[in-house]
Amino acid sequence: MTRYVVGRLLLLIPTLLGMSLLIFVLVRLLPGDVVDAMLTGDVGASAAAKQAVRQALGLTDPLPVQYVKLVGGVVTGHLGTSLTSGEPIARVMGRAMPITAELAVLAVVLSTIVGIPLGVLSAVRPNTVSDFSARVGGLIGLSVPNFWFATLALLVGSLVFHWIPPVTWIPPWQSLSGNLGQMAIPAVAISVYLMAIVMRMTRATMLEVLSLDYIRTARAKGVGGRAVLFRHALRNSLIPVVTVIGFQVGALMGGATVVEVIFGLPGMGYTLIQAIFGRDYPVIEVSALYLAAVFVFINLLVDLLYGVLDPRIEQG
Amino acid sequence: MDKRRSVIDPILELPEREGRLTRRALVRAGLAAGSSVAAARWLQGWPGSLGLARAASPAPKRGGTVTWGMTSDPVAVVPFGGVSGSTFEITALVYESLLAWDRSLRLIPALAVSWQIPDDKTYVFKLRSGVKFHSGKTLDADDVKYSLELQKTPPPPGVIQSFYPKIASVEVVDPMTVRVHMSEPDATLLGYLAWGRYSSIIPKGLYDRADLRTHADGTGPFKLVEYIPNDHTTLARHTGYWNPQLPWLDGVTMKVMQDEQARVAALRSGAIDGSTVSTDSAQLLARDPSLTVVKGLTAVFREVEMTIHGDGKPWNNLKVRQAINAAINRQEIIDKVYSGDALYSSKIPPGYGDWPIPDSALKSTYEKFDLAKAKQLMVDAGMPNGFSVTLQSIAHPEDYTQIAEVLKEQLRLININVTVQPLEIGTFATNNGSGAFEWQSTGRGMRGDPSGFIADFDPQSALYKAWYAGGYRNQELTTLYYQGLHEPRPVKRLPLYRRMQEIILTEAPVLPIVNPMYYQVVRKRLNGMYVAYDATERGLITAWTA
Amino acid sequence: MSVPQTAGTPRWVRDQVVVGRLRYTVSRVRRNPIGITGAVIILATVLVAIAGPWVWRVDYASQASHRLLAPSPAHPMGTDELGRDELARVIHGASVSLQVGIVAVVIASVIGSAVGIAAGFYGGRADAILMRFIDIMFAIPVLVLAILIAGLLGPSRTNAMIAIGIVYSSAFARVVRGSTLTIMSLPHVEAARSLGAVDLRIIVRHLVPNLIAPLMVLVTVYLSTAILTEATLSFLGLGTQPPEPSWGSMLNAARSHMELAPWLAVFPGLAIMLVVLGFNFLGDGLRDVLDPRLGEVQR
Repeated sequence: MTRYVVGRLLLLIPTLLGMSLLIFVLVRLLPGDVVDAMLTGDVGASAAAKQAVRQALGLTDPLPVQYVKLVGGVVTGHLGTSLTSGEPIARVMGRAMPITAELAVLAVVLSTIVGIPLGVLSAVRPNTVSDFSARVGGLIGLSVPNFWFATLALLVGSLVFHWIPPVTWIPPWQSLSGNLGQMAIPAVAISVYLMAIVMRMTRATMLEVLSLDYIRTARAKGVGGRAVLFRHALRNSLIPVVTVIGFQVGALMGGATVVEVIFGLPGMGYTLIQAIFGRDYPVIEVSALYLAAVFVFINLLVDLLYGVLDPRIEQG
Repeated sequence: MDKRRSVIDPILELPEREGRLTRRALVRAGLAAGSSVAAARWLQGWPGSLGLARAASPAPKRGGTVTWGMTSDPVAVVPFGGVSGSTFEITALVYESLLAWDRSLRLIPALAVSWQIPDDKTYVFKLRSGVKFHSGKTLDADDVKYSLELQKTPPPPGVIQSFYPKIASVEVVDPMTVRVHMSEPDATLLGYLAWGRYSSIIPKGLYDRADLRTHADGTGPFKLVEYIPNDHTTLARHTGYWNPQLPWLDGVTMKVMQDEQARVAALRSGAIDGSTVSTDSAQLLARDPSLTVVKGLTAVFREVEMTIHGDGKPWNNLKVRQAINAAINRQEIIDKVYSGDALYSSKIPPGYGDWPIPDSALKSTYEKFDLAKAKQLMVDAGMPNGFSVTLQSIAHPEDYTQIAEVLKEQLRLININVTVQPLEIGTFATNNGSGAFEWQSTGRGMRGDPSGFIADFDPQSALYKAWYAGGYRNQELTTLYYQGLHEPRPVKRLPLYRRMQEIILTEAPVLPIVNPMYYQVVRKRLNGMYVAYDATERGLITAWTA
Repeated sequence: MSVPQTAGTPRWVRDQVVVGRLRYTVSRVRRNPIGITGAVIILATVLVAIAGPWVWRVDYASQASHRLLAPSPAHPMGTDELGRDELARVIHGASVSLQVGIVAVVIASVIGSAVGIAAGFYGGRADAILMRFIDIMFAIPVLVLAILIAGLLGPSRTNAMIAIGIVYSSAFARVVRGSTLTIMSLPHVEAARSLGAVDLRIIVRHLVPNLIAPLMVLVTVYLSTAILTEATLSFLGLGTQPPEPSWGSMLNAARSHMELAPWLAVFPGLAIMLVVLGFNFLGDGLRDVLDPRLGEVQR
């Protein structure tokens, strides 16, 4: 087991290297650079003047040199500085990371504590009102884009309650209640899709497991209904749920970016897309790399959880 | 009561230029501030206002903080050098220059209380005494010399921009007097200083002491407390400001909120006190009793640019360009894209003082919609069957692309097949600067001097080389352009710039389209706000909370 | 579910088995109203996409009318912010959204299957390398890739589909690899391999028929996801570019007019919901018909 974990962790390195190279190449291929992006046409700067700025920013070094500097910087912990604001990237990410992480965690928590019970309910009472309403709700959750949900929430909030989440981010260490009040609606907006998937998944596998022979046998033996449900069926249903959450990490990231833009939260997603539009190479490269590492790491966790939940599955 | 005492103390400490501060001077200052506020409120919402507070409006008073929703991140708060429009929204409140403009774009004193022009290559500025930077340092001529010289070649991320006047040297005559020597007569200096976007005055040596992308030290009414990129900027009242009455507000938080719907919701719920919104949102919010809609023109007019290189493309032909100009129904664009709230625009946009060609002349002559004439011109040019062209546009904000779409439908009627290609801003700006486009739908911006609007046609400029080299040249235009640069008397300059606009609108190397109204919506507690022509929020300097 | 290939089985026995299996499948389909409903919805959507512009002959790009008109006989779904007929745009949006889904999923399944089959089939070193490749695809946030591709090639529907397809391919690759591994370990396949059968023959004969089932399920799920992802991309200004409408970009544009013209959001929103419903029902039905023990997404 430990060997497997260590082996997988070691495999992270080539993955991340490949990822960093891919991002680096794609980003440098983009037309225009930070100098063009910052000077929006009207300034009429000459080409020579722009070149001088590029030199000062280190953009005229040959590309392989720049790449090596990037990788070396990341490894040694010197993440560089933003080309547009001059802020150390470590500080930028230190500010942005907690926001996106909190959004993602809240979204996963919400979707599981709502999705799983609803799925169970739906499976245990098939073809009842609660079943149908859960399934219809699930369908709505699957087909409403998250930006729509967020906009609708803002509209209802401002028109009906004359309240919207505070616009400036309140860190949780400053005021936990304020922070949760602020993050609640964005987190719900992201989690709706995942909630629907989790619900459907739970329902489907619960239905399947409930009809399995060994459940029937256990019931026949007289083991209580509740015990049967929660011990055997639920445990086995969790495997595909965990798997699908692992798959949906990327979508969560996309959803987080959308709500960050709408609610004005300077998280990783928002920072990253602003950096792409502004051609702020160091920020793009480091943030994308960081996100990739998180994705792959979560992937590993899912694989490990998979092994824990179902001992029949071999590792390695 | 205690608050008022602390407010008066800085006034008493300030050494006034005329000697001791007298009660009469205080009253005069108060009246001046009051009347400027009244003037501001009268000019507010020109032309025609919506829901503006009328007779029973409260008098200005000190105190209160305001949260403003910005549409995009300032990127960096550098005082000069390569800056984006949203940077200027912050620096307009934090930094000042030697001169300023009133609401009609007439020059008024700022850091310089008076100026003389002994000959056509020399300007002498007498500085205001007792002006304090946010750090506490007193302004003197050394700071001005440092700033003006550094503006010529600003440190990174600044880039040499084309608006820098032909300043040869800056001489310190005495601590309160500066003499600027020009290398040639240049009428743009005063406008360059009044505009302030590139001419902020900073303390000597500031660039060596601080990172000005995220820090600031100016003389403006607000000082920069913190700037968090992509998040917010916090400003606090500069208690040592040279105008003791202003600003009324204790502080401003400029929060970046890119999404329009989020800003609308924030306005309704009171999370922000003001923001810029689109025409449709303004109409919607006008019905809300807790909000006031303020509107006004800015210098950001829309135009369609073309590259003309004499390479056989159809619009190299004068008649074709004139046909296109006649086929564009600007009123339809105003109605469809801006709900009727926009004006025809010349190459110098309406609202820029007396310089632009009047609206009536544009509608009747230079930008008259005449489809029959357009068709005839296409036939005369030998292109009755039209041609195909790609029109690039900025994807966000949407109205640039919407204009392109309406144009596409309009030009279809003279058989021009337009392919609209929305691009994201980074790529668009790159293409714009290098001339890598056929046509582009874009917006221009404020200029310090009217020559700035004609500078595209200066054969020595980078833009001319990218857009028109080898294809478009009008000798009269070039001659007039240089003449206008060197002629210092406004009364003599005016006919020159009228003539230049006539040439441009007749030969149509570029197509100015419309100048839309700019809407800002504020909560009722924020009074005295107006739309600034340079699209900043400088109204906050004279605004107050009820 | 492969037909016995053992040499010596008479032809007529094999044929009987095939017919029997077909009959069994058909009867399972009949007992599956959900799947049928889904299929009907999708077919109706395809029909609207193909025949719609012929029935409702209004140009979706023509700005002839007043803007933001409420639904009326002349404009059954009203007009949008530039005066274009909404019904025509919803109809055209059907073909756009279906195209988005199909192209993205085709890209994803082609790349994913190729990589997954190679990884599962050859195993060992190749598997390890290809898995890294899959991980890299998986690790790129779809928005980042879409923005980068849009910046490189310009924002367009095609480029959005490419970006979506590339990112989804990792999920397809995973599933295909898992199924391949399972199939490869089946006794008769291992036997065929040890008997020296050519690689290609094994792939075609044994792998592909057994991969169709899980692939079809994946395809139906990701078709609806692709439509939603394109909506998110249009929120950022990527994806389908004006004047061409996609339901996602129409939903995004409708946000600015939610109060003045709520119908602009209702119609594309309902359309998306209907299509997502259809694909999900179809997927559920397929799952039931093809193999009840298939379960959800597999490793």
